[in-house]
Amino acid sequence: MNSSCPTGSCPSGPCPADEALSALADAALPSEAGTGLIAHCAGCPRCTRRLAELRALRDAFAALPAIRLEVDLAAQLVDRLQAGATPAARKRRQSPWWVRWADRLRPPTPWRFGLSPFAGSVAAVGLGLWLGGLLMELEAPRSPPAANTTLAAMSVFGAVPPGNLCPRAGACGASGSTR
Amino acid sequence: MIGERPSSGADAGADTGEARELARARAGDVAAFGALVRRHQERVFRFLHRMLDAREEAMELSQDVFVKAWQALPGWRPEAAFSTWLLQIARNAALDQLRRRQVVRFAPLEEGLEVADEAPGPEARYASRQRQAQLERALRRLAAEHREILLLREVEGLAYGELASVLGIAEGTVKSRLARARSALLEHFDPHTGASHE
Repeated sequence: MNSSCPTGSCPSGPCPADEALSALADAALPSEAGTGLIAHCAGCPRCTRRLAELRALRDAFAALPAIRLEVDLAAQLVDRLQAGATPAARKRRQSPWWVRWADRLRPPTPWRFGLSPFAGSVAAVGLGLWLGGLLMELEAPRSPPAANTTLAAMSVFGAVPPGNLCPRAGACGASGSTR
Repeated sequence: MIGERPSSGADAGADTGEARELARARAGDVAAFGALVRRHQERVFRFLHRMLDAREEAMELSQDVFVKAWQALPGWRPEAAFSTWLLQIARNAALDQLRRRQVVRFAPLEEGLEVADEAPGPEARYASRQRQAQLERALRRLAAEHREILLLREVEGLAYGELASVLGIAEGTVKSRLARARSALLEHFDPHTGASHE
């Protein structure tokens, strides 16, 4: 029921809902309903007042000061979008599946390859190998080959007990004799 | 249906040029999209400015709206008017922004809001400015749901069908929500005098 018509009826009959008056102010009612409502308002001071308020509201909006952007967003956006290289992705998305597959099979250009995740993995493994090699080279001079030292150390746990004869030459160290 | 506002036919009027630009933009032509931005940037900005009541924020968000539109352009279908579609993106962006803010801004009650008399000349101009300021304050007091539908209808001139499309509701709901929004605004603002009902 119309809030401006609390009794629910006026001299010209039951008052319409606010929704109908709002639509009437917008001229958004079918012509028959609109005519009926206007006839009601002619005899109903409350609905007339409400309709006048709704129409005045529209005028108040129309009188609001203009808000101007004062900047050309388009110029800024075009640069931003061009830098984003979005169109390539869009073209790929729009093209048929065989074109997309052909695109994938095509040898990558150095630039595209350089940005791919595969190139990143290859670079990481390569870097690891190179650093490992570098470390090996640095380690090498610090531990020169010492075959005798190693063998002597190992002989503590050898198969031939100390004092025994060696079964064959060279089996018990460089001398080939018992320790 | 009666009640189509003249400005709602703007899309139809500029159809040929805009349709060409849209076709080119959808094919990835950034310059054509730039032309579309120029057509609609004022409207999108104005709506966001009034929704957020913050110029810089509205400007940044306008850019985001167009970037989103560019990204979603392949999914756009000509059945939806481009301007309506843009306003739909702008509306969602504004609501997100308001949610992020989580702040309800209440208009200050100072600044000489007494109603000016109807004398012509500078006094009348002053009264008119007061009335505008009062309406803007009253708008800020409304729920976002009411503010957006009023701005889209009264300022942007969208027809009921377009409102339904932008807001994602039925036309019947547009009618009732619009009536509730107007009623809420009239609680804070007297359109005849410009006085606030505080």
